[in-house]
Amino acid sequence: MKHYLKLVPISAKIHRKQSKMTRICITLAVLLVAVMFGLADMYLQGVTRHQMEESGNWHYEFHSIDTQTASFISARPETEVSGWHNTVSSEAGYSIKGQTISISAQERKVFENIFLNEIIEGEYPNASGEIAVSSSLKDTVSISLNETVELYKSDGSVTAYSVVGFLDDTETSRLVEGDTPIAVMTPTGFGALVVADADTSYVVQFSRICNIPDIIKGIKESNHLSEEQMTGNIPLLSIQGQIAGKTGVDQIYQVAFILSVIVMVTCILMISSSLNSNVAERTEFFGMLRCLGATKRQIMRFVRLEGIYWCRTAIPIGIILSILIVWILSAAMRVINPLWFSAMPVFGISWISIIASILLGLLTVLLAVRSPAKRAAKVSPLMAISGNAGQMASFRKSANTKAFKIEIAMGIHHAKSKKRNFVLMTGAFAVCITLFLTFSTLIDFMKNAFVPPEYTPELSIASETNTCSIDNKLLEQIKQNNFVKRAYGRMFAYNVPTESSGKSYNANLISYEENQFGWAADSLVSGSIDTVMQQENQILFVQTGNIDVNVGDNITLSINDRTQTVTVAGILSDSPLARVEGTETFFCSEKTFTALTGETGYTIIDIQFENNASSGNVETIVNLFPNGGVIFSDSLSKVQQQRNLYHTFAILVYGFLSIIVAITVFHIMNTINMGVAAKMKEYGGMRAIGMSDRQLVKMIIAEAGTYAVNGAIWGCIIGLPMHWVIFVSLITNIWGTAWSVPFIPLILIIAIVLFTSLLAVREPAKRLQRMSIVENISAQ
Amino acid sequence: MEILRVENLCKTYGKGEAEVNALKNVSFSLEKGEFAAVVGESGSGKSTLLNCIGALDMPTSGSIFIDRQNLLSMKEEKRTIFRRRNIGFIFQSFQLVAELDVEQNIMFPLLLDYRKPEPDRVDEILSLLGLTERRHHLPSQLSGGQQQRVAIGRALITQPKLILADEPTGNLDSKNSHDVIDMLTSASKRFQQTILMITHNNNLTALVDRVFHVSDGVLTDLGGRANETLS
Repeated sequence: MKHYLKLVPISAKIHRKQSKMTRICITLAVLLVAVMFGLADMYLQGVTRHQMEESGNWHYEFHSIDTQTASFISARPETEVSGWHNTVSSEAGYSIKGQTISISAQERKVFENIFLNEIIEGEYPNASGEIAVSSSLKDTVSISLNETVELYKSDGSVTAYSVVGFLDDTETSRLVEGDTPIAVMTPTGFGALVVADADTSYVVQFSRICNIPDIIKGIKESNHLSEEQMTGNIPLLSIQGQIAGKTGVDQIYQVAFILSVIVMVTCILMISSSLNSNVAERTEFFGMLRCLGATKRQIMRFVRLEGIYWCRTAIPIGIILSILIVWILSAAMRVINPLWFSAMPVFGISWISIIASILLGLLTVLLAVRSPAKRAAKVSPLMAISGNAGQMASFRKSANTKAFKIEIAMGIHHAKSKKRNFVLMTGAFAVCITLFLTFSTLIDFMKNAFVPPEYTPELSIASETNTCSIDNKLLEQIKQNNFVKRAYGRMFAYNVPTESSGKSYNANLISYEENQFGWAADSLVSGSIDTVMQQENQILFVQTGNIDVNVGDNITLSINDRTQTVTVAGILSDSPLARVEGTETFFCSEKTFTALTGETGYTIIDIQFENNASSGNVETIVNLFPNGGVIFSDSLSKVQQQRNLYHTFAILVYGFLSIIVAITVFHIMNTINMGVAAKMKEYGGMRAIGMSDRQLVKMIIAEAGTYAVNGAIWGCIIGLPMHWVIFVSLITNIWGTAWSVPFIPLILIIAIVLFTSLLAVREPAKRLQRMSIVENISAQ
Repeated sequence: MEILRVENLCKTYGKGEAEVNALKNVSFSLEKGEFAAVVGESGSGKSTLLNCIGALDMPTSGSIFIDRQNLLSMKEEKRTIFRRRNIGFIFQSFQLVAELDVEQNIMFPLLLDYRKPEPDRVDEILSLLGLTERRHHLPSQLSGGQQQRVAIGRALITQPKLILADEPTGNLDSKNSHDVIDMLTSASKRFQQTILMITHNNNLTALVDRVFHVSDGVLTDLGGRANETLS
């Protein structure tokens, strides 16, 4: 041994068992930070990929610029890909073989790298007489590869092109808006076409590592461009951190930062309290070091080095575990939501998370050892030689044995007597609750962001004429398919002249059935929905503020030149169908609707499918309408995608909450275990004097309960405002949902804390009971 | 009247080659009000004997009767309750509860029994031990001698039939040692309590009724007032 600090590894080996908990705490801290950053990395990858698929991988679009400016932008070292992008919408009247088309002209690199499209058959046009078209045109108008087709302009002129390739139909919306087939050509070919009403822009993708706002400022100044000439891909820039200001993504980053800080504070408290107990157990050892001449500074250095020494094994273990967890979560996300997360690597390693976890792990340990190091340095040399080191000096007040039974009084006193310890323990409990509450806002965020409303249809069949023209027997036929979960129709009577309380106005009368009445119940302000469902001539009125109507009021409707009176049985605060300004909305039962209007057919039928439904099932429904007269609106894949996204996000959020609960449980168990271990000798004395095992357990429960109850109170005091802050910035600001006390997560976490505290007493109590009193008294 | 009877008590630690017989067939009995001392060298088995009698440790074999009740046949909970009502302990290292003041420490066995301490009785003990002025002091505010007096008070409060004292003067100077022994003697006389005390101090054996010697786990009864015999 060449240096006194070489004692650290020797001491660590001997005290391996005592330091186990501290090492686990460090591992957990690193694990949590690494998983958090790893998942954030994955989430960002998913969101970025999704955003690119939505609008393309471009950062800025320049309009009305000359070729010189374009070449200046292209020549900048920060420009990765750039090029002209010319589009002609389907409304311009261009067609091939009678099929209306849109046109998109750009270089191949822009087509592939910026708009992320690909030619699935053939090749990209290379000359001005070549085009590639949507693959759907192959079937609809029988176009084959290398065929020469004529492109008709709206003025009747024709240009011949050779079809050299087919492109994927599903990806074309990034090139031109709308879902008509598309023809793709080179800018030179487009120039030859001479299009007057084309939309021309110069699109640019910059390098990820440059500061795009600065570059844009430079381009704007040097080329004298106006703000109107530049359009940024704000969502993508925002995700890539290239934009300042209050965007949704910024708020997510803010939230992530706040959560990271809370995670760090939790870990600091955990490690600190674990190390404090560790130091307390070795008071005599530190006293002995002081006896032998170690200075306070040397003791502090010793404890600090011990913390860092434990990091040697704890940090790599935490990182390895985090990588495994991230791999498992990535795999789960890829399986659940291949559309968004298929780009994610199977065995990817997030270097950002590794670096962040090492740095934050070390910082956490260094901050956490400050207090125990000071405590160790304060140990007087006398402690080493006075047998009961630290046992007597720390109490200032005696326990209150009058208000409580002796064991309860002592348990409470044990918890409360040492202020620093009480603050650390209660603080750690409170931070766990705060952490859970703040993270639980992500569930609300997730529900708001990804869960479609209950009433969202996956397929809507609407009357082309907006009348009650859909035969109601078709609804029954639809319902008979076992892949249909719910099918329901609505009958509409538009702009019905109405009079109530002496006021005349127009109203839309809409029929509802059981399901729709059920969903409307959430917005019921007064009255009863059952009355409307069961009795004729009863309606639900949607509040707009224009007309003052109360439950029980009579309303006169003029339908088919007949005047009929209905009664308001209920008032709804809002409805997704009440969106026409100046027109009131009434809902009634189908029976009432038929009685009032004489109509029996539906204006619209909405369908919700079973979970495993496919486009084939949609096709089956479509085939039920061979005579047309209806418009189909298929949102199945969109809703399924949204649901998948919800499930993916749910894995992340619930995964995180589980980790937090696991940390809370572990921390409580650890804390109580260490508390018992530290007082082993004292408990032995009490048992010798006559404290029964049952009383001993009660005493430990009282101590644990004191921490838990105080922790829960402080958790509410700190956690609820934190929940409010995160909720407002993440949910209220985006969706407008007002904050309310999160009773369910609050009750859940308090129950977990209390139950775990109770459970945590079991093991140490059993350990004490297994020991003879003599072993107990002589325990170190 | 016989208060304590120990029959063929054996205590063995370890197994095989590491086996140590700490007590070998120890048998003796003590009458009511008798004050006995156990002497012997370190590691001879004195503390083991006391721990077994106080049911702090379980013997390997043998029987212990306190007030004719077989201590070892009782269930754990019952034995604990029996111990706190019938046996008082005094330890060398006092074993006071740090968070309780002098008065509360003395009342501790009664509080554990959910009994309300009689104020007169507490006052009597405090005055007997000279701790009336310090009744609300915490153990950390007391000297070693005072702490041991509190431990004696705690052993006396339940008026146990048997007091077991493990080197009660081991941590005290000679004046405090004499004071403690005087208190134990007067308690023994005044309350007719049986006391079994381990000591290293041969001078103290002059003050007791009977002396036992333990050597290699074997107990020998040296009879009464044994200072001559010991010397």
